[in-house]
Amino acid sequence: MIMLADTQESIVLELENIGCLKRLSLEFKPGLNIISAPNASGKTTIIRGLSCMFSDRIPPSHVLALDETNGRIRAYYRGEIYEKTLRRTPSGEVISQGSMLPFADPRALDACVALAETGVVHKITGGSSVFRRYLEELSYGSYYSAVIDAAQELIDEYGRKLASSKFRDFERLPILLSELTDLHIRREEIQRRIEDLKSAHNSKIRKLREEIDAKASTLSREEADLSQLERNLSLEADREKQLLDLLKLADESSEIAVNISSGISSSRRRQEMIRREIEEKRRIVDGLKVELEDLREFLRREEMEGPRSLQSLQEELERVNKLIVLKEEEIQRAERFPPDDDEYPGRLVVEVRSEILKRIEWLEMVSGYFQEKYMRRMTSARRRFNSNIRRAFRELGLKGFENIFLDQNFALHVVREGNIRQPIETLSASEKLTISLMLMLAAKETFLPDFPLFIVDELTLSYDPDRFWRITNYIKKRVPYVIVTSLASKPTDRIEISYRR
Amino acid sequence: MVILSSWREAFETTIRELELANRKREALRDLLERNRMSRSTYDYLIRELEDEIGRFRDHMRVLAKRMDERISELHRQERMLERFLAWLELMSVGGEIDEEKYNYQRDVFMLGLDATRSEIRQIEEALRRIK
Repeated sequence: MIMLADTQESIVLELENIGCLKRLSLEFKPGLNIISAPNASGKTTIIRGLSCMFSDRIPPSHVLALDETNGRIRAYYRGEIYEKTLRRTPSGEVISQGSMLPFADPRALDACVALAETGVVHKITGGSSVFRRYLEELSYGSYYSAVIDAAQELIDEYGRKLASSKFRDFERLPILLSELTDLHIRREEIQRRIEDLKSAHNSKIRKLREEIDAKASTLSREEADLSQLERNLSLEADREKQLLDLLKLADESSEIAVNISSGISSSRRRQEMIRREIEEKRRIVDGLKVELEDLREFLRREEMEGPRSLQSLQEELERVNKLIVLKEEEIQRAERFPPDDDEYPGRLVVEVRSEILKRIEWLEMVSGYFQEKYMRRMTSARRRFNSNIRRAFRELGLKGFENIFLDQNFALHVVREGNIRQPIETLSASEKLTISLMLMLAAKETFLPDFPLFIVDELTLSYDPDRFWRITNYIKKRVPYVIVTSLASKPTDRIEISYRR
Repeated sequence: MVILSSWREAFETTIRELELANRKREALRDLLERNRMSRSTYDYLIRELEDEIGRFRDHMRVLAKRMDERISELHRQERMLERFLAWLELMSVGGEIDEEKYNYQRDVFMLGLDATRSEIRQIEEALRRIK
């Protein structure tokens, strides 16, 4: 059965084998649409059927009539036909296929359909975490959260990689450099000590040579003196001999003989004196020769052996030089991955590290960007909600409330007149419902501003007629199509729809 | 009276650390020049080292300022001790204090004066090392 729409602006919905309804056609007009019917006559089925045309969140098995294998939902909107068919497979699974309304959005079920099963009241009584999750889903915050979590996971993974043993040696480079510097300092100290030792030794050798030269010069002088003395002795002996020869010629009693004899005695005394001097001089010369020989031997030994403890210092220097070579090799190994590394064979660690750090930086930027976006969306949603709910309560003329707002942690606060805070749990059913509807409307206006429908299913039972009209009129002013289900006020077996522009 | 100063240990430690950092820089350059280290690793390590040297130099500047302040304080202390000594001389000449007391107090003031002047010299010498 096809029912043509009055105007291009109407939405015509046809249901076939949906829920308890075999066939039904309804036209929704811009403004308020009130579906009236008794209990269990298919009001919620109509809402579910319509919802299937803009959201895939309702499982097809919840829509198709239990005793049917095929069903169909068709919508006419702005001259186009949108149809979805449902089919039960032999295994009992229900699958659906077809097209959806052009404004379809899976989030609409949460933001624009106040069904009991969407837990509209639970959204405010469930606490801040429930409401935060609700806003996250509507604002794609959950998507942002997932991106943030994924980025964080990658950051953690890269962080773990940088902290792994592969990079540990590289991280030790500053320590290795300190150790190398210590070795350099030690080497310089040893070199300085060797130089000092060599310099002291050279000075000692020079002094020894000077001493030898001085001794040699003394010896030479003494030897010359000795030669002179020996010559003097020989001359004196010749003189004595000449005097003896003269004495033989002279008269023994003569004065000349006496004088000659006296000259002979004098010559003998002089010879004796010279001999003593020669003896003394020889002793000195011999002593000098011994000393000189000792000094030369000492010099020879010193020159041959070199400075004492030089060898041990040179050995120490050699050991330190080897340690320096080993340390430099260690540094070379630490700065590069081994050639057989499975991930970065032969690459410089600093370059790989830099690449990883750049990735981490980029991921942190991405994470920060989404975090900011997430926070902005969530804050915007919260502010919009706070603004809308204040306006709604003002326009609806709901008495007794001073302020209703969500704090930064998305906890709802209700402030009664006199600045008295009221726990949410203690609100009346109609107050909870009103706040929930305002919350949904704020969410819709924030996240789905162009979505044309707002559906309220029987939740208005809690309201007296005056409040019912005030709330529905308030919603109607903000949404093109408002669909409300209501219990029929008089006994009837038909589903009726009435309109109010 | 001699006020114990804390500049010396900090100064010596900083000088030592600075010298060590400079030695590390030399070791790094040596490794690079002998192709024992890549330019990339060198750049990475030298950057950290230069930062470290910069921090030590900053610290040294702060320390030098504190040492300058300490010198001013010590000069004040020196002048005060000199005045005390002059005052003591006057008291002694005027016969206001006996010789034993004069000698004891003079020794005390002289000791303080020597220690003050010695510290001034040490600080000036230390400042010459870093300027």
